Amino acid sequence: MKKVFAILLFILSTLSLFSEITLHHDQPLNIASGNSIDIELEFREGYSEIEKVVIFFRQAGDTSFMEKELEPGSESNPKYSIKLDEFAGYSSNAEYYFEIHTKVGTIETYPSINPDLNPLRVAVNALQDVHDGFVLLSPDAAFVSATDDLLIAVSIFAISDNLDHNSIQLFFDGKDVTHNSRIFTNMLTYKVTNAKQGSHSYYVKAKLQDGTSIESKRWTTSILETGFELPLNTSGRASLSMRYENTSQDTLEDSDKAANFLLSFKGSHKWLRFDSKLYLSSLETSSAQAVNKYKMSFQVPHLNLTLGDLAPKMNSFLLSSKNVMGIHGDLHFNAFRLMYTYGNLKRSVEGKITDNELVKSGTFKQSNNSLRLELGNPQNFLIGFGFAKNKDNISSLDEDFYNFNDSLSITPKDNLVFGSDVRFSLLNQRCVIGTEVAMSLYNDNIIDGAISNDDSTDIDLPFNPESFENIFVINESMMPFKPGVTNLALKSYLRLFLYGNLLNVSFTNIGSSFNSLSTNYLQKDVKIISINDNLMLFNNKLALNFGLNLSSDNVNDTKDNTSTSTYIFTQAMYKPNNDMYFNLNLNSSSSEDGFIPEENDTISNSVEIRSTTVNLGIGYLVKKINYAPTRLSLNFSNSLNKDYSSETFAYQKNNLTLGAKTTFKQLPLETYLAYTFTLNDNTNLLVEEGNSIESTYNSFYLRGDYKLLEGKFKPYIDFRYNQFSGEIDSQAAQMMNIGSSFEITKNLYVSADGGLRMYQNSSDDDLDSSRLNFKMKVSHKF
Amino acid sequence: MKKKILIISLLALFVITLAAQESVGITLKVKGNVTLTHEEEKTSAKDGSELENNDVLESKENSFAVIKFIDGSSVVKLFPKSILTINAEKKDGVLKKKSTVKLGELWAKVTKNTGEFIVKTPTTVVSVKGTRFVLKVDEEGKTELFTLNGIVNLKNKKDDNEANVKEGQKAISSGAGEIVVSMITAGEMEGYDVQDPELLQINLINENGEKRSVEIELE
Repeated sequence: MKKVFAILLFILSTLSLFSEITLHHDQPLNIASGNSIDIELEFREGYSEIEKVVIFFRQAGDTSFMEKELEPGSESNPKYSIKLDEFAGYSSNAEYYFEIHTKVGTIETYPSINPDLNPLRVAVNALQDVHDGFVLLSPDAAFVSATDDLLIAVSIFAISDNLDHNSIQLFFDGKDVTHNSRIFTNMLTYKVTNAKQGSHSYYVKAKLQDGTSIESKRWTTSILETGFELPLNTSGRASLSMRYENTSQDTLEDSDKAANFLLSFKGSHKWLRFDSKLYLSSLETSSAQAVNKYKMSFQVPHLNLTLGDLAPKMNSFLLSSKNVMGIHGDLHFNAFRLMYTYGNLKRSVEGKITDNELVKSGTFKQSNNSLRLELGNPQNFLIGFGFAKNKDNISSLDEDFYNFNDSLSITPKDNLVFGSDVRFSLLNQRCVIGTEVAMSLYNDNIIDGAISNDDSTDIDLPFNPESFENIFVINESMMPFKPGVTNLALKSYLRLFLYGNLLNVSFTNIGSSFNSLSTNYLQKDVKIISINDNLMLFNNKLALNFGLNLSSDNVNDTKDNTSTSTYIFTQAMYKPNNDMYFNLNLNSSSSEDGFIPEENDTISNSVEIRSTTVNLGIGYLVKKINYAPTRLSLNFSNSLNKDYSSETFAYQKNNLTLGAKTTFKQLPLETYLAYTFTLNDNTNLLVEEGNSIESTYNSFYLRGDYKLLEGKFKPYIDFRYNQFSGEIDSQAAQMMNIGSSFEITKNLYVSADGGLRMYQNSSDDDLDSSRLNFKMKVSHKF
Repeated sequence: MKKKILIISLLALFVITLAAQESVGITLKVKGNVTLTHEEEKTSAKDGSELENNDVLESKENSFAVIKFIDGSSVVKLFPKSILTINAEKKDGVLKKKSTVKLGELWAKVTKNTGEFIVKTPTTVVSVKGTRFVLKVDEEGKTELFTLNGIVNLKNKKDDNEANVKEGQKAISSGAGEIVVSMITAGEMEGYDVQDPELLQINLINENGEKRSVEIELE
């Protein structure tokens, strides 16, 4: 049974769908060059479990990702969203993935497997043929300061005689602002008052008399902020957020509140750049790991120095996706780079003793020392070497919090990792081949220190372990004592981009004893082969994706059984124009534990679970309603999760969602109406009679967004009604939110949201509950 | 009845004609007190004011205006205490620009091969083919021309005497008689010239052979 349980845990961890969190993401097919994009990640289940969502994004071909945090929605609109202006400057495909942080401290990614190698992709539409007839008159950098209100003036003098003046459209930051423009016979003007600090793009579209569509170039202008002028060029942002939640259930009442303050400040002076970030949270407590974050970094030619919190990357197995509080240095020249990090991965946290019983163990302070040397450059050939040393500081924690009454609850660890990597880039980085290898030493308990020379002779070591105690503690708690192939990790990858086809192939092999405390998401004893292909056809109108992931454990044949899993996904999205799209997804996964019960064994069973999901989506923009063009969407999905080996369960789910998003032309109002129907059929195959439980889920959602004061004040209201019925307890939930955002000045922004959630269970009134929540944010750029 | 119809039709034609007046330029930047006279009606010029043929701009003390012609080819900066009449008309698809400086100082930048650019003063006619120059006119009509780039032709109205003023040279004319050409002295043009921003052009080509260029103005 224990074996089955452990295998199930392994299998479930490789499934792409989270057990308690259900995601939905409408991946945009493409964006027009020069336009920013709105990205949303919807949580159909488990929204309340989410702490934050971070998006990592880059332009295809770049080696590193940028990251930004998404803005949360509400219970009735369980989405995290962000507008990425950075995409407006991309000339090639955009790549991104999400990192989901839950309140219990776990971090998941979407896509779930190797997201940095297989991110989501958005094609950037090449510019249509630009027409020389549009001439930009203003802004003119020679005469207009970048801090002034922005006046856009475009001459159509050269084509005025052939132009259909009624077809002229001016787009500013992706929005049609024609109705606020002045159109003359020979030119059009548009004045942006209180233009936001940052980069802005704009262009003109029109038709000639013969119906030919033409476009201007994409122009971009940066607006700088004036103010008290320091000898430094500085900018920054300060924001204060707070939230309050109160839940009432039966006679119980629980409230939760939090506030945080974020200050980022950066500047430059000649060859010196600096960047600082301060994050303070009311959730900071000495009885848990740090929530507050501090960072101060300086950059001069060839040297970057950071003090505070940073998550550097040195090879996937040495130091990756882990925050280190300390000092980070990066010395770099054309073909040489040296990186060094010294700090703490964890701080010491005291445990808790109650009634002479250790109810919670403490945490040792865990230090990190990492060094990496690179020769070459990522554009051609690069080779790197490095090591990471992670060690718990025994003296940082009182003995009672780890060795209470002579009983060890936790043990201090020591970990040393050596790694090397090589990378070849060919055909202007269209073909990238690389390999990373690493070897680790791991000691699970260093309380007693290194074994003595006398003890070591029994074990046949050619050196005195005590002499190397500062480098690595050698004793019987080393896992394994004699390092071998089980301590090795390897990753090889190929990335090829040719004629619109992006192919990613990777092979990962991590030994059962490989440990790296300074790497996040590391899965031991696993072998993964991953193939992903992304193809764009018909001028980026059709996107085809195919992926195959094969994984297995028992890499070093140390177990009796080998568990395997296979995950296949295919997607076809066709978007012939901006008005409609068709999307078809097929995901299939299967997991087996490889267990073969003996002939006489009638209790143990092998496990084989298969999961299949088919998803069909259609969207269409109905323009015939002149004053209220409406975007209709229909989404249908069918999923089956079944145990084929032991035949213990079969869960089937059918989901249908209809949506209608209306943008009123005469009013600054946008509405969204959606209906979702789900039919669940959960069958317990172990029970002969009444083994199928059917349930239905209905959800209605309505939202209205209004704009006042030229879009500076944006109130909204939304309402959601959920109902569960069928062969389960009949339940209902109603959620309503009211909120608004207000641009007090072009740099000062305030938003506030309040909501109420009511839940009723017809079978048990004690489960009825209500939740009141409120959140507010003030943000100022300078 | 017929008379009424005729009058109304003529009036309508007049209105249509008025409405069909085309813009020939725009004020990019206005600082201080600059008046714009359009068909004898005076208003304050602002950033983005539309300019039509025969409009008059007058800048007061400590005021200036920057004007760009509708074809994007020419920019004029009008200095304080100056009066400029905009004249431009479209002919054969090209904008012919003939402006008049009654008094004051202006700086101009003209792109080559973009149509005629002529500036008249009370005493002279300045013809520009593609250049940067400064023009000063006093109350008596005495004209000083400073060529910063290219070649500018200066011609007297009364006796048709003319001179080609080259880069780095200046010419003084009272409208008749000799045009005196000499070198611009160091520092004489300080505060007058406006340098073009440095333009970085990057040419891109994708795997399908399509070409695009990106132009970046450097500060």
